[in-house]
Amino acid sequence: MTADSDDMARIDGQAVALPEAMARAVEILTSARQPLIVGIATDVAGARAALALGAVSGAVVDHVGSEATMSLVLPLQAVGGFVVTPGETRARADSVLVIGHSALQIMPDMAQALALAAPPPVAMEPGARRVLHINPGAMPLAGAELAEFTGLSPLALVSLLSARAQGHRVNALQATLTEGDRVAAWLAAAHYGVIIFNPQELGALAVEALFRLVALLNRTTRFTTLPLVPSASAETFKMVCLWTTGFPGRVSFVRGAPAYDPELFDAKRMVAHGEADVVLGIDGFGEGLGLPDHALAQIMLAPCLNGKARRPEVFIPIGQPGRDHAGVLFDAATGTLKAMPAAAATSRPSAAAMLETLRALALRKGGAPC
Amino acid sequence: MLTRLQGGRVIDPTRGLDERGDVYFEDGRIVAAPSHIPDVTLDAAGCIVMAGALDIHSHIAGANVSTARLLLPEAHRAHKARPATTWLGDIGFSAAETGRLYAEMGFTFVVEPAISPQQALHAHLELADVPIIDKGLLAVLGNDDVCLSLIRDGAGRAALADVVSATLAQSRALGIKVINAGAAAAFKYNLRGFSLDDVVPHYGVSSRAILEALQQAVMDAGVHHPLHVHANNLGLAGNVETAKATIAAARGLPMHLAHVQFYAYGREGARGFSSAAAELAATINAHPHVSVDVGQVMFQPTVTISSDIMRQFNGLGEARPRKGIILEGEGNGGGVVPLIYARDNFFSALQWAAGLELFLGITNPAQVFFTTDHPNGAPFTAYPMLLALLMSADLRDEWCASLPAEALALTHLPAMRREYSLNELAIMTRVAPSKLFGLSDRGHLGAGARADIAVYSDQSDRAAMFGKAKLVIKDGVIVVRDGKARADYFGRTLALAATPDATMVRRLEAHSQALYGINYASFDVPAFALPQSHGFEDIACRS
Ligand SMILES: [Zn+2]
Repeated sequence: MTADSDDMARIDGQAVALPEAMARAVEILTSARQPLIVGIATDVAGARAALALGAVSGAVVDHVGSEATMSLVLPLQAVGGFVVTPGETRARADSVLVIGHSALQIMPDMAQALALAAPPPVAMEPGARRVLHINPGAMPLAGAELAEFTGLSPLALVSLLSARAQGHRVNALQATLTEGDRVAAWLAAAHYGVIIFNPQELGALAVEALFRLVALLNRTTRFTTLPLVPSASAETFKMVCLWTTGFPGRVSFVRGAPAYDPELFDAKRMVAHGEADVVLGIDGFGEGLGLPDHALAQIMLAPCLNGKARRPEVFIPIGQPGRDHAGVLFDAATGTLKAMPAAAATSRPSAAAMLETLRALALRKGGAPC
Repeated sequence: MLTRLQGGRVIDPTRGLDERGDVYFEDGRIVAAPSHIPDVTLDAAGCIVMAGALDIHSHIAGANVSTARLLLPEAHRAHKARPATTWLGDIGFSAAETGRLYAEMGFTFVVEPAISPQQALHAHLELADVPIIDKGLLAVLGNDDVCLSLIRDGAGRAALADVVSATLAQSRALGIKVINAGAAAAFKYNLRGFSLDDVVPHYGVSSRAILEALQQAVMDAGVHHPLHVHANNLGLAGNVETAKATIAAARGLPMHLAHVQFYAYGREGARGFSSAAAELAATINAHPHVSVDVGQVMFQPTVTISSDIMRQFNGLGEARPRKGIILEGEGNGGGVVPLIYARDNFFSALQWAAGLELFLGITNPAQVFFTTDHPNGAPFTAYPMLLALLMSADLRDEWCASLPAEALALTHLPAMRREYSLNELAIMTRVAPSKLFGLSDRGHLGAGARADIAVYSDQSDRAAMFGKAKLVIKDGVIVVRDGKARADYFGRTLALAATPDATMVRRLEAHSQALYGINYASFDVPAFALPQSHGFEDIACRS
C-alpha cells in the first residue's frame, strides 16, 4: 500500500489516518438534521450495524435495491402470495412458466440451475418438464416453448390470463385471445407449476394480479411462484431489517422507534426533494448508491473510490464480504442466507466493524436521540 | 462476587420448597448457604422467588416468523396507517423486543419449535439478536425427500437415526419436530386432507409410518426431548379422534404433542363443533409417557405461523385481514395466515374454553406445558393473564360471563373449579420443561443451577404480578429491575452436541446435489457466521 493508494481513508480527497476520517464522519453525521443511510450493499453483519447506526443517529435507512424488493413486498403485503425455493422447483415442477425478458438476466444459468431439460425427479407423473417463456424479448430460454403478447402491459397480460383461465370473456384482438387461451390451457394442464418472474419488470400491480391468479389456480391444481431478486444484498438487508425492526426496509428512526413507509422513506425521493442533508453510503460491492445527483454532504464506505461520481467528504475503505472477509449473504441458489468464508482474506475491515465504531463514537458524542 | 437474594418466598418444587428464605449465587451459579458474608444483598421481602421460566414452544425466529412480519406491517405501533385493531401491536415483532418482553415476565429460556434445516442459519442469526434469554430450536423433518425415501425403502432404524444426528449437528438444534407428518409432501401432490393412515403419493408412506420411524430415530440418536409432534387435522371438528389415535401410535414410548388445544374438538352441537377437551385430557392422564403443550387461544388479533402448509392453505379463507403467504421448500415450508380471535365469536370462545379445560383437566402439571403456541393461539404477551386465569376460578367466571353461552354449553369449563397453586405453576413452567430438554442446571434453585431467577412482588392481581417481574437474574446478572429490562445482556443458544455419521453426511451431500443441485454444506451454521454477542452452549446427548 503506497502512502496515497486507493484504499486509504480520505477527507475531502486527502488521504488521512482512519481515526481522523472516522471522527470527521461522526461529526457530520451527528450534526445532520436528517441523515440518510443508503446503499447498504453489504452482508448480514453490515446490515445489522447500519440499522443500529441508523437508530442512534435518527436516520432514514434505505437499501439501493429496495425498488426491486418493494415490487415483491408490496403485493405480498396487499394480497399475500405463493412462493417456492429454487431447489424444490428443480425437484418437483412439471411446468415452469417464465414471464418477461429480464428473468434470464438475473438468473442466466436458469436452465442448468433448475435442470429444466431433465424430468422433475419427484413429480407425480414421470415425464418431461414443460417450459413456457412468455414475452422473452431478446433472451428466450433455450428449449422453451414461446408465447408472445405484443402491446399488453404486464398487468393487462396477467389480467388476460386470469380471465381466460376462468373462461371469462375479454375484449382483445383475436390473436391475443388465441395466445391467451393457449397459455390458459397450458396452465390448466400443470400438476405442480412454478411461475418465474422479475417483480420489478412486472411492477407491483401485475405481481399482485399474478398472486391472485396463482391463488385461483390452486383451487384445482398446484401452482406457486419463484420471484427472482436481482440483488443478494437487497434481499439480505430485507431479512435483517425484518428481524431487527419488524419491517422489510425503508425505515426511519427519526422518532426513535422504527417507522416504515415504503413511499416516504424512499432515499431516492428524499434526495430529489431535498428532505435530507447528509448521506452515508455503504457500497461493499462497488455498484454505486443509485441516488440522483445531489450536493449533500456524503460519507462513503466502499472497497475503493474508483468510479464514484462525486468525491465524498469522507471516504472509509472497507472490504468486500465473502472476499476480503467472511460474511453471510442471501444466496439465490438456496433462497436463504448462506455463510461465506473469505475467498481471499485481506486486512480490509468489514463494513460492520466500521459502522459499529461510528455508532460507538456517535453514542460517546451524545448524538443519540433516544 | 457472592449475592444474597434475601427474604423472599422461595418456591422450588424440585426440593419441595415453598418457604421464606434466602437464595445465594456466585459466578453465575446458585450456591448453598455460604459461610462468608455476601458482597451484595438484594431485598426480596414480599416477593415470590422462582427459577427463571422456560417456554418450550414459541415461534420467535426464522423464515416463517419473518414472513409474518413482512405480511403484517400493520402489526406495528409505528406503521403509518394504524388500523383500529392492531395485529400483535404489543409485541414489537423484532428480535430485540422478543427478548426484552420475555425477560420482563421472568422467562430465561425459549425454544423456537419449527425450523427447516435449510433455514437454520437464518433462524440462528435471528436468535443471536434476541437479548437476555437463552434460546434453542427444533429442526423439522418428516416431509422431506430424505426421510420419506428412507422409510419407503425400509432403510432401517440406524439410517434414520443417522439422518436425525446429521440434521441436529448441521442445524445446531435441540430436538426434532414433525409437522403433520407427510401432509406438506402430500399437498405438493394436490391432496387437501391428510390423516394418520393416509399415504403420501409417490412415496407410498403413511403418516403413521413417518411418525413411528421418527419417534424411534429421535430416541436412538440420544435426543433428550422426545419427538415433538404436530399431529394431522389441526383445527378440524371431530379431530379429538386424531389426537387419541396419535397418542395410541406412541405405543407407550415418549412423545410430545404440540398445541393440543387445536385437537380437542368434537362434533356436537348445532354447528357440529364442540369441545372434546375432557375426553382428550382423560386420554392424556392415562398415558403418562406422553407430554403435551396447550396452545391456548386468547381473544385478540394475531397471526398463525405454521409449517403445516396444507392446513395453512386450507385456512386462507378465514384470514383476517384477507391475505396469507404460502412458502414451499425442500421439506415443510411454511404458511402465514392472520386471524382474529374474538370474544363474541362462537369458535374463538369454544377454543379458549377448550384450552383451559385441558390445563385444568390434566392432573399432572409436569405433563402439560404452558404455551399459546405464540403467536398462533395468542402472542406470548398474553401469558400473565393466562396464568391468572389458571389460578382463579372466579376470574374465569368473569370472563365466561361475556362469552357466547352457546359455546360454553359445549364445554365443561364453567363447572371446573380447580385453581393452580404457585407450586404447580413452577412445576409446569420451570421444572418440567427443563427435564423435557435434559437441562439439569435449569428450572430449579438448587446449588449448581444457573443463577436464572425470577422475583415477582406478591400481589393479588396475578396478571400484573407475572407481567412485570420485580427482578430477573440471568446467569447471576440483574437483567430486569422493577419490570424494566436492560437490553445489553445476551444469553446463549443451546444446541445438542450430536455427532453426525460421516457416511450419512456423504449420502446427504450426494442427495442434495442430485435432487436440488445444491451443496449440502450451503446450509451449515459455522461459528464465524454469527455475531460476537452470540454463543452456543453444547448440551450432551442422552447416553
Ligand atoms: Zn407451533
